[in-house]
Amino acid sequence: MDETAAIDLCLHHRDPAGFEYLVEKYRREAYVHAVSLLGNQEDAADLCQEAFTRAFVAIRKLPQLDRFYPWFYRILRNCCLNFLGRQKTGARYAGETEPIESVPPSLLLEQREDQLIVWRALRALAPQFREILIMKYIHNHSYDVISQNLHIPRGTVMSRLYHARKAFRDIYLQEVEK
Amino acid sequence: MSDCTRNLELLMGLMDDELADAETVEVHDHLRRCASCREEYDQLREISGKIEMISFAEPQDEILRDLWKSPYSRFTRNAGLLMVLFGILGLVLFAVYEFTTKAEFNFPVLAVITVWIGLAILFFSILRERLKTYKSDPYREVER
Repeated sequence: MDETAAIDLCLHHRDPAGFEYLVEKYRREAYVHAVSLLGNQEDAADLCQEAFTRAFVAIRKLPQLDRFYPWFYRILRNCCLNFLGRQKTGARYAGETEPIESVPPSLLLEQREDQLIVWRALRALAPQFREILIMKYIHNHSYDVISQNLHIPRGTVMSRLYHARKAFRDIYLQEVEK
Repeated sequence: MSDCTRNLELLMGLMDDELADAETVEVHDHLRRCASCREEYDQLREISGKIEMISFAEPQDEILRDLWKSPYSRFTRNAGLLMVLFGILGLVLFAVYEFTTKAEFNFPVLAVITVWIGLAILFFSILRERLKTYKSDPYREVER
């Protein structure tokens, strides 16, 4: 089975086998994206489940779909951003004045100090900068794939990467000085 | 868009080897003429090397397998939750009706009314915090 056949099974035959194929194909990428957006593996796993469930319900109502992941990524991203918003409300409600500390994930291949500084700087970036850097550096996606996943033109990919790298540089240098 | 602004964006394409031939010539030409863009390019290339250092371990198969569980168990759970909520709502509405139509003291009704008032207080305090957070929410600006 390939992606087109799997989408066809979901859209026109309501066959769960098609969706299971898509989940298996993209679950790793989805999970890494969620971890990088949330900074926490448990929450990432939970929200991936949530996003896949929503996608499973929604995909049957679509008239057509060319590629699964760009469409799914929008669902996952909204789940993560809503969660981060709720988490902030929760922290404020509980009287916490400091932002919730992000724990370096065991997903990091090496827990060396220089890698942890890079991770902390990435975590401190605005989400739209963090996600584009993760797509570029962790997934090694081309500009065309990033453009499809984020639903932005290629020129905006370059512009956002420029601002993301600049923002990263500023935070990274501050982290190094600490 | 100024010459430098356009070229700073194209520099990303050059760094990532994503430019067409004509764009590559254009950027190289600009870099030869513009010292500040050259400096910016060198700095960003250096910082790019730092980000490249980070690498993620392969997530465990067990975690990945658990990302997809049959959604029907979730639907069943939600249906159960909805039934419980509707049941509580029915009880609360009945209690309000009893309280307003009968004058005598009725402890169970008062207890339910207290729960109702408590829920209302919680709801409004969370709503107030949500509104406060919304005003300073950095994720609000992210295009959905």
